[in-house]
Amino acid sequence: MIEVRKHDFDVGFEYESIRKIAGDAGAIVTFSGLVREFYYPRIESMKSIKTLLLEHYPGMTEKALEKIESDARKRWDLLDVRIIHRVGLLKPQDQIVFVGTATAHRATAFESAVFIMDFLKSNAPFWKKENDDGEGKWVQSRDRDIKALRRWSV
Amino acid sequence: MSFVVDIFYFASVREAMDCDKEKIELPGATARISDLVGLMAAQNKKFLEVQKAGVAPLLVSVNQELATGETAISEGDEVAFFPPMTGG
Repeated sequence: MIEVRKHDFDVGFEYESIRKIAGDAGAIVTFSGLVREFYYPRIESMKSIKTLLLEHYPGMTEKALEKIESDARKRWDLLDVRIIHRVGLLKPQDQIVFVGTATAHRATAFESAVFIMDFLKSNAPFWKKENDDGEGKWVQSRDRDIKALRRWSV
Repeated sequence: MSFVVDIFYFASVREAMDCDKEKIELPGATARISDLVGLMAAQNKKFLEVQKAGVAPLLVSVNQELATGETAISEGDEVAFFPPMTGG
């Protein structure tokens, strides 16, 4: 299941939904990504961000997330997959993204959740703009996120 | 003979173009993305700047699938230009 939406999610609710659907799951892994106040804590001059704008491409974003779920299901036997990504204006400590996977055994649950997040970072059309007190700044894609895709032999 | 495609811009590309969508007419019945980009760079200074500027490549999609310069386009296709993605 994939969803792109403005409103917040409740991790407990999503976990219970996965648990009901997953049937004979031995393992459920959930991940939540949050908005951090400081993106570059080592740079002293970095101001704290006040808001984070999440922009997306309606239609293409959903298709990209569906493909990520489908690719994960091809690699592993997943009993349930849940991906929720928020869009719109968020602030520090807000939840941005939820990924949940349910499988028979724990290794698969962890691996598939990492796979989904790695692809979600670079292959799903979302763009982030940080706003402090001055002009907003678009977040640049990071080498490390692009390199993370290599470990999946794509 | 000519055809029209819908162009969408996102994120920093949208800001640089000062526009979120427009229609562009091309000659003939089909073309490649590289032809469209050439036409847009010639017609619109802002697009030329977007192409030249930036440390990251400009990405393009056709009908909501990632595309390259070789991808073909024809009447009614949806083309989008955007920077590398930063989700999650």
